[in-house]
Amino acid sequence: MASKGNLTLKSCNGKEFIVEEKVAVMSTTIKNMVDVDDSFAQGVIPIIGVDGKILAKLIEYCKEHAEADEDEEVKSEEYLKKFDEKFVDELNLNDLYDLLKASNYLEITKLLNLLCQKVASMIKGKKPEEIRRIFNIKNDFTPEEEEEINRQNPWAF
Amino acid sequence: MKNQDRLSSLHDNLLVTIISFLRFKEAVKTSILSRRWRFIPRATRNMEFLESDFVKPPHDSEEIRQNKRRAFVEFIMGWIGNYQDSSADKFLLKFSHPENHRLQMQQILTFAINLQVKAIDVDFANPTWNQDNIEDEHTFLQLPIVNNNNNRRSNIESLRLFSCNLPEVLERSHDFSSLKSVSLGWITLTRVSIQNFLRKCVALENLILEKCYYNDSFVVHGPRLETLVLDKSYPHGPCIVNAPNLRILKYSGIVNEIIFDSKRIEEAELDFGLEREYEDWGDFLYRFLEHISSVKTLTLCTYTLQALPNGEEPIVSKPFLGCVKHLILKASLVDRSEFYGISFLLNSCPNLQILTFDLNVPARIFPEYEAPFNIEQHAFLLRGPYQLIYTSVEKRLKSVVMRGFKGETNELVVLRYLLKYARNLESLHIHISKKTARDGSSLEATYIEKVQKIPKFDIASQKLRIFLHRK
Repeated sequence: MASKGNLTLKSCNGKEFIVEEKVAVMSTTIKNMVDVDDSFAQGVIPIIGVDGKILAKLIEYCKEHAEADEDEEVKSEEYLKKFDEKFVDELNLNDLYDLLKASNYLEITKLLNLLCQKVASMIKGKKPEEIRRIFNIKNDFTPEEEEEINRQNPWAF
Repeated sequence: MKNQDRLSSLHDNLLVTIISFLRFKEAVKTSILSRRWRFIPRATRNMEFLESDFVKPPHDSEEIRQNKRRAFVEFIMGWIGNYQDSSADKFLLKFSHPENHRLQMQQILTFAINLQVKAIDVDFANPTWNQDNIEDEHTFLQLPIVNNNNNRRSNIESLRLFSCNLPEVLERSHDFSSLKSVSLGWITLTRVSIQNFLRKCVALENLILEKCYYNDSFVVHGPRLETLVLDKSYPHGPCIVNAPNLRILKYSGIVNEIIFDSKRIEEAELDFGLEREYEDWGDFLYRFLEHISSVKTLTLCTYTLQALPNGEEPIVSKPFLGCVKHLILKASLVDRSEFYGISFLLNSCPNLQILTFDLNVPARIFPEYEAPFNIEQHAFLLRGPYQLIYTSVEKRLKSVVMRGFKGETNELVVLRYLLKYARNLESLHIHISKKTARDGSSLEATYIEKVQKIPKFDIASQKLRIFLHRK
């Protein structure tokens, strides 16, 4: 059991992580659980649908940001920006999706925005064929449908 | 697993968040990716309606352009009609010919103001308008009043209105308490209209007025105001700024009295490029600079450089700008009329570390200008042991930047002086002028040839590095 001020988070594949409460409550979902039901603060919080690898990543992110929120002197804005950049650069596509889903479910807004921005940066400036190739998107339009979309917004294409 | 399209399997709200980080045009384009994406862009939280996306080549006939503008307006109407959410991140509209579409424009503005949106940017200004006759241009559209039946709190943080009037502020109707930045341009303001509006903006930090016209004096109250920019705006009478936290003040226009609390001022920029007459403003400007003596970064124009040394004290006896670390001089250096002004400032700023010359300004030399002393006796021009040396140059100066370098005699005269005496100078940055010859051919090679003279100067500092920046 976690000591006072700490929470235990359990991934869907059974890995347990003891984290400081201030780190865990970066997630609005966890914050609401702890606020509403005191027993969560004592026992183990199951994080449904998130495996140990992804949960570890989430905790790594929240830790940096929780500490920065507490003490601006130690971790400057610039430091956090660099950390964020490195954090998303090191992710492969699958991890990126897993983290997106997990941070959406756990409502870690800052991280969610960071990840969405990363995906946007992969779309930015590219032609539709390139975007489809990067993300394995299958073009299921008929040529007629495609032409109609082009005709609707000729200014954009 | 490997060839799966996991992106498209994400929930709609995530896809919308993703495309909301893209420019509007790019977000719209994602509708072509696949059926899954067909209608996702309709929910983008970043709406940017730009006339320039629709009306492109300037050689179209007026009739074709009008048709394109109509298509643009219809597109916006369709888009806002389809928009489902009650909130968004940004609403931007840039349209130079709203006059033929008044009714639709009113509807579009009503949509925007009733949206829970963080940033509104509406620009109806026409690029062909003459900035010398701001009062002649007519702004007929106005941001409507919020339809506040449900009593929501607004979360707007940034508002930019160009050629679109401020909303009529009625008690209880508008909530602008979350606004941090307001930028207004090409509108006529009265003392009452701006006062009523600002009274609602209790959290305002930045206020930018560009090419605004006042038929009244100008009074601003801003308890949290940190930045005030008055760019080519013409008040009648003095500007009264009641903002105890003001840190940045930028003023461009005719010489005018600005009454403000200067305790916290850190950055100031003064540009009297619109001043048509050369008058005895020397003492006035001197007193103004004295008033902002806490300033760290100071930007001054060629007019100030010519007017300053013609006051009662052409050379200051006591350095009064001790906080200035960075001085930016928008000088042309086409002749020597600015030399005594530069000396005046080098004398006044004993702790100067960075000196920037921005030569990319139109030369404005006033024929009435008279140097306070014989110009031939100026420190930059004298040779020999009795040359006057400024403490700031000798002891503190670390970096000199010259933008728009053409290698003209006066540019080299100033540099030669600075290099000769600045013992602790670490860097000299030369940015080559982009100016071309009359026939449009590049003069870069000529300018770069002139740069070659610099390393042959007498250089006091052992650690000087010279950087050459080309376009």
